[in-house]
Amino acid sequence: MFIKKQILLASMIGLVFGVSSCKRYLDVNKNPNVTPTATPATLLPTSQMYVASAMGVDLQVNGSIWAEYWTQDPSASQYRTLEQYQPTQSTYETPWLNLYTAAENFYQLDKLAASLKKKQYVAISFIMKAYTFQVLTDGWGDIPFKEALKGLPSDGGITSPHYDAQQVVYTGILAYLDSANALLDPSDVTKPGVDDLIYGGDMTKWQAFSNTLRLKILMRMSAVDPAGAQAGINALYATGPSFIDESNDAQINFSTTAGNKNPFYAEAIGVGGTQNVVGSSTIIDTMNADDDYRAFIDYEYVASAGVPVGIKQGAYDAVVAAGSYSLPTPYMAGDASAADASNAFGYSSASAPVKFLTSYESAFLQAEAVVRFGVAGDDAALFMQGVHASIYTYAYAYAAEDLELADYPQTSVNGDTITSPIFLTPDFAYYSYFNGDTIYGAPPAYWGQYPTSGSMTEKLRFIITQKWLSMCGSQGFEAWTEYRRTGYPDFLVISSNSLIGNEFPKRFLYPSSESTENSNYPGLKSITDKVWWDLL
Amino acid sequence: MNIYSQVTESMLFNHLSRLFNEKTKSMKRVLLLFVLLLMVGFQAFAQTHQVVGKVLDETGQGFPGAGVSVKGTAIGTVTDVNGSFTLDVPDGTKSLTIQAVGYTSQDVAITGESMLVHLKVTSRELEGTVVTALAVKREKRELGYASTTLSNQDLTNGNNTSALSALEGKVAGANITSSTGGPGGSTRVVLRGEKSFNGNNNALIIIDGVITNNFDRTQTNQLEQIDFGNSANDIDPDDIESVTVLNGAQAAALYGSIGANGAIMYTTKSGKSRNNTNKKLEITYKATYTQSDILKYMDLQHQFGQGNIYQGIADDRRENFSWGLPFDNQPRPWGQQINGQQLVKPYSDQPDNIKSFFNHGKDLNNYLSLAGGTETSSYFLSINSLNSTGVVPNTFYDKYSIRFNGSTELGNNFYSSININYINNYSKSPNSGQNIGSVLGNLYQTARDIPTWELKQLGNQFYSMAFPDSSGVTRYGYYGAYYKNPYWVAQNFSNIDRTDRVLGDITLGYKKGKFDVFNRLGADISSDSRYFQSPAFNSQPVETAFYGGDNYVSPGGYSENYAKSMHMNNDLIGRFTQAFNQDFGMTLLGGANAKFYQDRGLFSSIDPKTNGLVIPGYYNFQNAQGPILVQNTLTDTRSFGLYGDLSLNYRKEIFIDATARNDWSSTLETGNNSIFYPSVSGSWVFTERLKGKVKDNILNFGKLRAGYAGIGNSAPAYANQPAGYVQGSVASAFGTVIFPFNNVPGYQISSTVGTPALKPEFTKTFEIGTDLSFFRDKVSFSFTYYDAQTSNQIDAVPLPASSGFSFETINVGNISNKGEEITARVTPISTKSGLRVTLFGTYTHNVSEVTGLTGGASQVSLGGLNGMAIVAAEGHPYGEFYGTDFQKTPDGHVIVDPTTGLPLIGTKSTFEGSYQPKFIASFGADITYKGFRLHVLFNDKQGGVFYSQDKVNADFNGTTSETGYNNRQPYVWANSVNATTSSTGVVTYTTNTTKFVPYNYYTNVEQFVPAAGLVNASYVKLQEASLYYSIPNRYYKRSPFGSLEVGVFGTNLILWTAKSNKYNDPEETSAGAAGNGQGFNFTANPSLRNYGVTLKATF
Repeated sequence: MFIKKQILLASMIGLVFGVSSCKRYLDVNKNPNVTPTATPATLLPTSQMYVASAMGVDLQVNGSIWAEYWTQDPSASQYRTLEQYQPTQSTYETPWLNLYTAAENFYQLDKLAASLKKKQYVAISFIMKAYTFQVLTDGWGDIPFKEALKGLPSDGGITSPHYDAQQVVYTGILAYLDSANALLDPSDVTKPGVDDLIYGGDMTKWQAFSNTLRLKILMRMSAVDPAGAQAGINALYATGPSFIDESNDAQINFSTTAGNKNPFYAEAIGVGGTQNVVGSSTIIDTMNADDDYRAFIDYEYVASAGVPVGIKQGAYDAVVAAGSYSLPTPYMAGDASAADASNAFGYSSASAPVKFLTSYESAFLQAEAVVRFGVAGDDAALFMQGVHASIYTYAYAYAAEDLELADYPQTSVNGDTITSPIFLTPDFAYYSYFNGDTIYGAPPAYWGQYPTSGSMTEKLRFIITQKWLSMCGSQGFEAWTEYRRTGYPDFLVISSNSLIGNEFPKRFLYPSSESTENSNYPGLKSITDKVWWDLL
Repeated sequence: MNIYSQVTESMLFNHLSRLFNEKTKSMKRVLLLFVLLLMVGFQAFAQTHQVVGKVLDETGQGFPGAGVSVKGTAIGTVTDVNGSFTLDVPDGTKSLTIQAVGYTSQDVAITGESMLVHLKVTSRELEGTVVTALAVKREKRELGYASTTLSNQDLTNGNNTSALSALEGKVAGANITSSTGGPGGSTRVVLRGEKSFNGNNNALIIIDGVITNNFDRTQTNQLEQIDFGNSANDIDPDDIESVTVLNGAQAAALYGSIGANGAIMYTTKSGKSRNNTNKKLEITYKATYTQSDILKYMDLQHQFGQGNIYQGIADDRRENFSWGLPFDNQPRPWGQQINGQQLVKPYSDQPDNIKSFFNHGKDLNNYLSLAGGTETSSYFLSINSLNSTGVVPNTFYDKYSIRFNGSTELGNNFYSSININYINNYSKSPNSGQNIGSVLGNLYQTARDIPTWELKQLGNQFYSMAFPDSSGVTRYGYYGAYYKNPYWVAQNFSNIDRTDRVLGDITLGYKKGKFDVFNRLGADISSDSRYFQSPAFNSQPVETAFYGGDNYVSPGGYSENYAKSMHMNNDLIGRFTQAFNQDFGMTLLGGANAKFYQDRGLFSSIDPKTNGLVIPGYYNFQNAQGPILVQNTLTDTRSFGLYGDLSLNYRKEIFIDATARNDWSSTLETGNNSIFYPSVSGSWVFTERLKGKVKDNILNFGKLRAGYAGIGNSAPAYANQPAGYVQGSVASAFGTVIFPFNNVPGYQISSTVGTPALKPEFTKTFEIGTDLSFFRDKVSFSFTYYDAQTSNQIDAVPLPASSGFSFETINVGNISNKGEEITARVTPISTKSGLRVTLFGTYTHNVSEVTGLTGGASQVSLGGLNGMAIVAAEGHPYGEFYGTDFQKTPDGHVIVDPTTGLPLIGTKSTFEGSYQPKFIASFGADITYKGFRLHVLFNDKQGGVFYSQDKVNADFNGTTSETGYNNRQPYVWANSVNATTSSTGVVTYTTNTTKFVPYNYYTNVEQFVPAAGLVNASYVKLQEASLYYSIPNRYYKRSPFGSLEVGVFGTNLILWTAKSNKYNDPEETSAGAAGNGQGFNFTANPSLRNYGVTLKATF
C-alpha cells in the first residue's frame, strides 16, 4: 500500500516537471482558426465582392437618394437622415470599411499573385484598386492612400495612415492603371477563370474596363485640371483604346441561392423585409413626361395611374396611401417584398446584378470626350449608343414587361390613348424615344433630342442628364457624383426635409472609426464641403 | 470501523478516479455513488440521555440565545433567558459545542453534572482563520492585505440562487452587477476597478483552492442579447461553507497572472471527521420557494393613445405610436377589419398594459445534504434542484447539481481528498435587444390604450400572426403593422442552453511533522450546447390596402453553438513550518503549477438573413436553403509556474510574508513569455504592545498592515500571431453575402493584426490599511487604501479601416485604480434577554483613470451602439460614454434653433460621463432574539450614468411620462439660448423664447442625440431582507428532527433611483457579465424582485 502511494506521488511529481520542463508543452500557440496561406483564386472573388457590397448597398442607396432616383418610403424610417442631408458619421462606417477591406485584399492578392508570377491577377488587382480608391476619394475627398492598407507588421505596420490630398490619390490610381496595362495579356494561361466574378478572366474585357475607368478618372478631372485631363485623354486615345461596349457591363450577377443574393436585397431581408425606398418623383415625372419607357423597367407601375408614380423627394412624412406610389423594380433589387422569383416573370430582387462600370456610362464618357476634349468621334452617335445600351442592358426585363403591358387595363399610357395592346420591346422603347411614338402619335422625347449643333454646354447638359436617366436604379453613387461635377440634371430639388437649408450634400462624412482610431485623422469635413474636383 | 463506510470509501475512490478517465459514464457513476452513500445513511437513531447546563458571558451573567450542540451533528438547542439549556444527547457523546455571536466557539467536555460554560470574546471580524491563496488557511491577524470572509449564513440570508449576487453589499471594494438578479442571470464582480481594457475584468473564482472557469454564456451581438448567465453562478450557495474575497493582487499573487483581478475563494462544505466511534449521519434538507416580479417599470404617460395627430392619421389603428388624440373613454374600433368585423374597446388609458404581459417568476429550490465521517475520514454529499419559470412567458431555468466532498487519512502519513461537483443546466431565455425576435423589443412598442392581455389569444384571428384566409393566403389579423404580437414572439422564438459540467479536484498528500507535501489536480470540464430557433413567417395583413406592409417575412433560421472546455490545473505544493524559538517562527511554501486549458467552440447557423429553412418549423441542418455557416473556435493555452512563499512571525505580533512566482506562458514568444512577480506584505498587531485597561476595555485589537505586489498577465491565445486567411463573408449593415459564391470559394485576410513582440501586462499594486476593534469587539473597523497601476495592457485595439484591418492586438496602455475600502460593524445592543443588534456597513470608493495609451490611439472602444460609444480614453475613467450631445454654450446652456425652438444637435462626439459609480456603500442590520434572526441590507451606488435605449425608443413612441408633459403643448426648452454669429465671427447668446413642439423633439431630434439617452445611474436598493425563526427543539424532541428553521426573505426588494431615472434599474445591462460595455441598456432583460419562504430541517 505504502509503496504504491510513493510510486504514485513520485510519478505525479515527474509528470509535472517532466512535461512542463519540455518546451514542447508550451508550444501550442499556432492559431488553428485561420490559415496562413490562401491562393489568388480564393482572394479575387472575395475582394471583388467587398466592392460590390459597398457599391450595391450603402453607396447605391445614398447615391440614389441624393441623385433623386429613390426616396425614403413613408412607412419606414431607415434612410431619413439621408433625406435630411444630415447623416451621421456612423452612416459611413460600413461602406468605408468594406471599400478599404476590398482594397486590402486586392493589395494582399497582388503581392501573392506577383510572387507566384500570376500576372493577370496582379493586373486585375491594380485595376480594381484604382476603381476602389476613386470611389473612396470621390465620396470622401482626402483619404489615406499612400500609407493605407499597410497594417500588417510585414507591410510596415502602419496603423494610423496619413491622409493624402485627392489630387495625389488621382495621380496614384492613374499609375495603378499604367501598372495594370503593362501586365494585361489575354493569352496568359495563368489568368483567372470563374473566380473572376466580373469578367470570368476575359482579359480583353479587363483592358476595356481599364480604358473606360481611365476615361472616367480623367473626365472627373476635366474642370479642376483641364490640361492634365486633356493630356491624359490624348495619350489614351493615341493607343486606339477599346472601351466597355454593349453587353459587357462590368457587373456581378447574383442568384436566389441563400447567402448569394443581391446585397441590397440581402439588406432588406436583414431588416425583416421592410421596404425602405420608393421612387422619387424627380426622375419618374421626368421620364413620364418624356415617354421614357425605361420608367417601367426602373419602377413598378401604379395601377390606378397607369404609370409609375413617385413621391416628392424627401417627403417621407407625407400622408400617402400604400399602393399609390411606385417601388423600384426587382431588376434594380429595389423591391423588398420580391421574394425569390416572386416577380411573375421569374426575376427577383435577389438576382439583380451590382454594376461597377457600364456600357452606357462608357458611351456617354466617350461622347463627352468628343465634345469637351475634341477627340475624334461622333458625339451624337455615341449619345444614341448610350441610350441604346441603357435599354438593351435590361432587354430581359422588357421581354418580361411585354406581358404586363399587354394585360394592362388602362386606356392610356403616358397620356397617349391606347388603340391596341402594347407590346413593349427594347426596340420599341428605343425607337419611340428618338422618333416619337408613331403608334400613338406622341412627340419625341425631349431628353432624346440631342442638340447636334448646340453649344458645348448644351451638349454636355444632354449627355450628363441622359447618363443620369440611364444609370437610374443601378449606379446611384456615380449619378450623384456626376451631378456634383457637372450640375446636371439641373432640375434636382432640395429634399423637403432638408436640415441644411437650400443646399445639396457635397460629400460623405468620415466614419467615426477614423476620427477615433486614426491619430493622423485630419478632422471632420462638413457635408457641404466640396471635394477637390468639384468647382461648381 | 463501520463496514459499510469502509466499503464505501474504497469504492468511492475508485469511482471518482475513474470518473476522470471515463467522462462519458460520469453521470451514471455519480448516481451509483449517491445510492451507495444513501445506504450508509441507514443509521438508527441512537439512545439518548439528557445534559443540562448554563452559559455565562464575560461578566458572569447568564447568556441567552447561545447555541449548544453535539459536535458534528445537528442536535442542538439555544440557551434560554437565563442562559440555561437542556439537551438530549446520544449516549457516548463526549462534548458539546457552544457558539454565540461575538464569542469564540468552544468544545466543552460533558461532565455528567450540570455544566457551566464561560464564553470568551473574539474579534469576530478581525480574527479567526482565512482561506488564502492555494486554499492555505491562515490566521487573519497574519495577513498584510484586506480580505472579507462570509459564512454560509451570510450568503444564504437572501436565498439568492447566485453565489456571486449574494455577495452584493457585503464586500468592500467590490462592484457587483447582477443584470437581472433572478435565477440564471449573469453577475459581474469587479474588485478594485477594471484593470483590463477589453479583457476579462471579473474576479478570479476559486473553489476549494482550484481555479474555475467563469465563462460568460451570454450571446451578444449588436442588436440582440440572450442572457444564459455566467458559469460562476453554477455553484450552489447552499454548498458553500464560507467565502473569502481577496480584493487585491497581493492576496492572489500566488495564483499568477489570472490573480490580478483579485479572487473569490469558495470553500465548500465537508463532513467532519469524528473522534469517537458514534458515526451518525447528518442530513440537511432545505426547501425554498421564491417568486419574482419586475423591479422597475418605465414611467408612462396616461393621457394619449394610439395614432399620430401630428403627421399621420390621428387614430391610426396600425401604429405603435402613442402620439394620438387625448383619451375620451368613448368606444372605438381598433385593429384590422376581418370579414367585416372589428374589435371595439373604449379609447382609454391601460395603465398596466406593459406590466400585465409578465408572469410571476416562480422558483422552487430543493436541497439535500448528507455529511458524516469516521475517525480518519469524512464525506459530504449534496444534491440540489432548482426549477424556475421566468417572468417572460415560455422561459425557464432549471439546474441540478450533485456535490461530493470526501477526505481520508490513508495511513503512513498520507492523506487524500476529493471534491467533485456535477452540474446540469437547462434553460430557455428570451431574446432581448431590438431584433425581430426580441420579446421586450416588440412589447415595448405597445400603444398606451392597447389591452395587452387580450393579445395572448393567438388563435383568435384579431390577434393572430398567421392564419390562412379563405383563398389560402397567410394573413395576420394583429393590430400592429410595424411590430409583432409579443406573445407570439415569446412562443415562437426559442433560445435553449444545456450545460453539463464537472468540476473538482483530487488531492493526495503526505504530512509528517513540519512537512506537508501534496499534489492537487483540479479540473473544470464543461460542455455547453445552445440552440436557437427563429421561426419562418410570411404573412400579409388582412387589410392589405390600409396596412400595406409586407413586413412580416422571414425564411426562419436555426443555430447551434457548442462550447466545450477542459481546464486543468495541477499544483504540487510543499510546506515546511518551523518555530525557531518561542518568539520566532516561519513557514516556507514552494510549489509548481501546470495549466492546461483546452477550449473548443463550434458555431453552425442557418441565418435567416442570408439563408433560411426549407420546411418551416423543422429546426435541423438538413433543412437549409443554402450553405450553412460553420465556424470553429479552437484555443489551447498552457502555462507552467514555480512559486514560493516565505512567512515569518514574531510573537504573534509581527508578520512578514514574501511571495515570488515565475510563469512561462504559451501565448507569448520565447523571451517575452517568462513573467516574474513578487509580493511582500506585513502586518503588525500593535495591540500586543498595549496592556491593561486600554487593551481590555477600549481598543482590544489593532493591526496595521501594508503590502506590495506585482502581477503579470499573459496574452490571450494567438494574440501575437499574424493575421491569416478565413472564409469570405461580406457583410453590409444588415445583410451578408457568404462564400462559396455561386460555387466559387472565397477567402479573405482576417481582420486582426497580431503583434509578435507582445509583452505581458503588469499590475503593480500597493495597499495599506488597518483593522481595529473597540470595546470588546462591540465596534470593529477596517480601512484600506490601495493604488493599482496596470501597464502594458494587452488589447485588440480597433484600427481605422484605412489600415486595412479592424483590430490590432498590442500593449496599448496604462490604467490606474486608486481607492478606499471601509468595513465597519457595531453591536450597540446585546442584552441579557437575548436581544442582539448588529449594524454593519461597507464603503467602496474607486477612482479609475486611463493614464496612457500607445500606438496613437486616443481611446479604445469597449462597446456601445447607435452612436453612443463606451470607451477607455486617456484622462478619463474606464467606461466613459462618448457620443454626440446637444449644442451647448461653454457654460452648459442648450442652444436651440430660433425658429423651431428645438435643440441643435452637436457636430462632434464629446465625453459624457462614465458608468463607474462614484462610490458604493452598503448598510445592514442583523437582529437576533432567541430563535429569531432578522436581517436587512441596503446597497447604494451613487454617481455614474447609463445609456437607456428603452428611454429613446419609448420617447420616440410617445409612451414615456415626459412625452405627456404640458399636455403636449409647445414649451420652451429649459434654460435654452439662441446663438447668433456676427460678421466678425463673434458668437453671442440670447435667452430663447421660442417654444418647440414635443412631437418634433421626441420623434425627430432625440434619437440623433445619443447623449439624450443617458440617465443618472445612482440608486439605493433594499438588497436583502429576511426573517428566520429556529423552532425550539422542545417542540419536536421526540421527532427525528435535529433542528427546524423557517424563514421569509427577499432580495432586490425595493429600488430608489434618481428622480430623473424614470426608465430602468441601472443594473440592467445588455453586456452580460464578461462584456466591458456595461451601463448600456439596449432593451435588456428587466431586473427582478425576489421574495419567498424557506424551510430548513436537519436530522
